[in-house]
Amino acid sequence: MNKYEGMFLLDNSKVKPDAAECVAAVSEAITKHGGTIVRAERWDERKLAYEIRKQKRGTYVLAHFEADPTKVAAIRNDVNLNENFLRSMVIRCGEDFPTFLTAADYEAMRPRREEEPAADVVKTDVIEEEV
Amino acid sequence: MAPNGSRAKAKDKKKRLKKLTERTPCRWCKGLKTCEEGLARIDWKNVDQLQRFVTPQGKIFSRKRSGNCSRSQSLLKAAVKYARQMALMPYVG
Repeated sequence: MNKYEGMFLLDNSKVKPDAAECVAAVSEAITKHGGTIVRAERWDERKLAYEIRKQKRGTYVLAHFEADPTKVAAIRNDVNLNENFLRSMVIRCGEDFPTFLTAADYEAMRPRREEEPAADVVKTDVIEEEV
Repeated sequence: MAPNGSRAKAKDKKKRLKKLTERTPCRWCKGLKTCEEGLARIDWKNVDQLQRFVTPQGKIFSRKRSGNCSRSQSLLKAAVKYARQMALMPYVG
């Protein structure tokens, strides 16, 4: 059993973009070939960088799973044939899984520029009240 | 002119050239004990991070431009290509 990190892009017009359905669709594809899911979550629903099969938006699901190396090709093939999936990316991890980060986590890591001027405004308000 | 003068000039030029061509440490490995720690931070799902290493059109910057070391550039290149495949980043802007 090897550890894999898989990201799957689901077709919004075929699968409802809510969390439960997307994760179910992905976990079904993996467990069908004897894989065990460690963690699977809806990653994000966003605009695609380019159209795929006339779709402009899609839902991403990120999954950490363990599977037999001989079965991974079958999982990939299955997903490619499945019309609900627009794209898939299955990458073998080393000894350990990388930390599981959703798109919201990445968004939180992003440096913000708007916060600083907002803080300044609050400060000046306080000074005026004191005067 | 004394022969010493021209030799000193040549030496000076050599020094300046060295300064110009000297590489600053790679931003991933900088200040860390092992490069692996820094290189582990390269993540193909982190679009904001990758965006800093491509042109507005989505072309990957050269090593000369980004200042990456050979290994980090290689990993970054792979990461951008994964992101393109998953439609997180554009192939052509």
